[in-house]
Amino acid sequence: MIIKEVFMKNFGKFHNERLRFQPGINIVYGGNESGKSTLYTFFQGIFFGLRRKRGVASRTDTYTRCLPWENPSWYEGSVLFEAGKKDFRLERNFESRSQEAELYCVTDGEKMSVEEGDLEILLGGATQRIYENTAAIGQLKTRTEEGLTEELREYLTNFQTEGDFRLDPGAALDRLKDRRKEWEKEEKKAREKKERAREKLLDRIQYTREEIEDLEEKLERSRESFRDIGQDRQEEKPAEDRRESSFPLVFAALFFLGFLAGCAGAIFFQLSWLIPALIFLLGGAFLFWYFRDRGEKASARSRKEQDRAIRNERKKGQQITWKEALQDKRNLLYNLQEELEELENDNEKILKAQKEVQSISLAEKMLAKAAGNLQSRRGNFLKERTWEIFGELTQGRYQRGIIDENFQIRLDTGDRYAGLHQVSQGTAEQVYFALRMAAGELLCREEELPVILDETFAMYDDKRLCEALEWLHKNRAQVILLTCTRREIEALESLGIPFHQVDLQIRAGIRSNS
Amino acid sequence: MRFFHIADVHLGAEPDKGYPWSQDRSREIWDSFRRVIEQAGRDHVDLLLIAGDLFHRQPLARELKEVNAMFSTIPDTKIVLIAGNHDYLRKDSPYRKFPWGKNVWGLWSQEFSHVDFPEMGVRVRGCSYESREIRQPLYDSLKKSGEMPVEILLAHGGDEKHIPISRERLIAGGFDYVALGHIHKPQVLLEDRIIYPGSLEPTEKNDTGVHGFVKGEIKKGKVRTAFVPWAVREYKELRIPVTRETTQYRLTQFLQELIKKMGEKHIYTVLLEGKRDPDTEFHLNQLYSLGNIRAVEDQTRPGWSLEELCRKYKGSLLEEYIRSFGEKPDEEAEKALEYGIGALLETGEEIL
Repeated sequence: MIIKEVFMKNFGKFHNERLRFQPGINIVYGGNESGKSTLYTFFQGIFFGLRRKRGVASRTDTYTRCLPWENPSWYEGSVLFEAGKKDFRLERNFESRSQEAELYCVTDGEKMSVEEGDLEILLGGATQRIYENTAAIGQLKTRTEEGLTEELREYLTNFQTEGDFRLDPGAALDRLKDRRKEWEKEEKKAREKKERAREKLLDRIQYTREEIEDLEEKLERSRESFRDIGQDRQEEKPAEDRRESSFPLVFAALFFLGFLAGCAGAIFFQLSWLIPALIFLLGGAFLFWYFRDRGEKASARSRKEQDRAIRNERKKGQQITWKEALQDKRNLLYNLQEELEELENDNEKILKAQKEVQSISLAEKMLAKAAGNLQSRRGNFLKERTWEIFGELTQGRYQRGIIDENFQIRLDTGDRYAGLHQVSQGTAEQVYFALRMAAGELLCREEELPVILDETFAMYDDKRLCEALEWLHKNRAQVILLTCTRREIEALESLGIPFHQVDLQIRAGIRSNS
Repeated sequence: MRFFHIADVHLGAEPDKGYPWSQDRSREIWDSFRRVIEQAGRDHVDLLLIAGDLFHRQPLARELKEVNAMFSTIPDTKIVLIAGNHDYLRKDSPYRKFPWGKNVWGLWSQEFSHVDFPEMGVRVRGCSYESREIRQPLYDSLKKSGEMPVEILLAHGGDEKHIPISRERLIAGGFDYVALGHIHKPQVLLEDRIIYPGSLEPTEKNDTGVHGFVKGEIKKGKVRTAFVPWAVREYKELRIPVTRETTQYRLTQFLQELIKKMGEKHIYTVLLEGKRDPDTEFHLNQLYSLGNIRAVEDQTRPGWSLEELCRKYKGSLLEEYIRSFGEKPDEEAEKALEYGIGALLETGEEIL
């Protein structure tokens, strides 16, 4: 990008001020209070807007400092620049809160849209922060050695985060870890819940098993008792039968024989008929007694039998009930086992949590890797390029340097490494300058921005100044150098480097009414 | 001749175990079945076909007693049952031994068998499951015998592991009516002829939509059927569109009204879809109290586009991170991307 013209309609002490610039080196020369710093601010403000602080701080912020001295409600300006072989005009009204800008393509006579990012594209994606850290080099705030070292280190630390948004990889990783822990807790909870349900089911299964065993035992016992009864009866019966059939027969035969003997005696020996009659009667009485006894016995037995039959019947009924219950319990056991199987296979909630955990773990891994890659890639480029530029600037006086993990910088003086505090302030500033130029190349790869230097070389000796100017002349498309001395002009003239000079009129430090 | 065709009643199931409505659902399944029997009685239905999975698991004797008692209240209705894959005939299955009432016929064998009802001129053929799975396409080669004026096939299955069914072959079988079971979603394979009535009541969260049974009439060899919505409640899926403007409060309000409108008795699965404000994170747990909500799934994506982010944070870690996932991240990677971007943006700070 080449800035062609700046028009400050109303900006700080400037009023309808039009400044023209050329490609190559431009020297803006003006004494103190001529408005160089205001111009420096304008370059930033026109492209990115002016930052406003809130509250009391706003009284001293850049925005307030650059409020037009006259007509403060009319706070605007424009810039004409070339990018991609086309001319553009950017106008900005600083007065309103949003400081909206309007962008025109002068070559095509077209209005562009800042909201939709047309300006961003023209700036090659450079943000205000990138611009401040690379192309625009303001006056160093501190001039002490430690201050400079500190500033350099801070610059390198923050260098990881360009843009207006500072990413914090450490905090992001912590956040991810927290979220992963949440899901891990979910997973644990789901597992515990499942385990509780499983235990409950296992209890029921165990209980049903016991019931089954109990029933099986009962059935076995009842079957045994059935067998026992059957055996008893079989053992009992023949003895009884024998008694029943043989015992009275002997008696009956005896009586019958007695009776016959009596009869024979009465006939042949003319004994009294009373004897056989007596025997007959005796036999009859015995028979009567016997049959009555037998009948009684039989009825008693049949009652016993009936009882037994009822008992057996009841037992059989019970057996059937038990058998049915057993079968039911077995089916229930089967059902419970099926339920257990289903439960064990149901990992829906656990898997869901696991999936989240996996995703987050992957995010953590990738983020750490991306951060590492970026840092090393960038760091390497930055280191290489910084020492390259530094080498060119110092014309080989220092070969290389080292930037370590803690952004400690050491310079290779040929025989030893010297800390930054051990070399001269000018050298330290050269490192700083090289670093910025390298960073600019790294971060604004798509569009080279003009380098704006505000009294950057004040601490350089003549030799260093010439080296720097020469380097800029060779390596940068446009440089705008703000200075209050003629050193740079003289140096350029002596080096024979062409340059464009812009003179700023010295303006009164207080508002004049003229 | 009038008939009812029910299937997949799943008596004894405990849907959504662990959720507050689970017990109620268990009871409602029994109630719904009882009401169908009562309805069959009122409508003087001649034939009640139960196409398998009457029970969710192995039936217990007392449960069969209960069912048989219900059947006995409609003595004029002939009832034919088969066992499906859930209540399949184990060796101890009480289905076979149970002293069923006079109006109940079970085709308790994996071999095809049939019952004839000469007074109606109807034959019902079918077979039961004797194992949890049957992978053979048993119905493929089955043909109407022609021995009765009307022949009905009582069948259960229709997926890879449970008697695969080919529609064409079923049609070619020539049955006057095929009473199917197993698929829980009601569907008609052939108008008035080959029908899944679906489960009588939905038994799990995927059984969305209307549930009921099929009633039909066969007159002079012509079959006419109608679906009867019967289930007490439905599983419904609510897709809630989310935009950048959706907040927790608005979401709650919206869901509450929607559930009120669609019926508070139903059971819902809530899906949040669309692009949410990247800074918004919904508290899903709070939504469960708004009704019978089975699950809330947040499928929203943060409303950023990766290209936009890459452009906005050009050269930064964020871009490096996004690019490190390549062109086409898989599902896990996409989630990881989202988590990482979220964490970076949440922990970063505006520099002013």
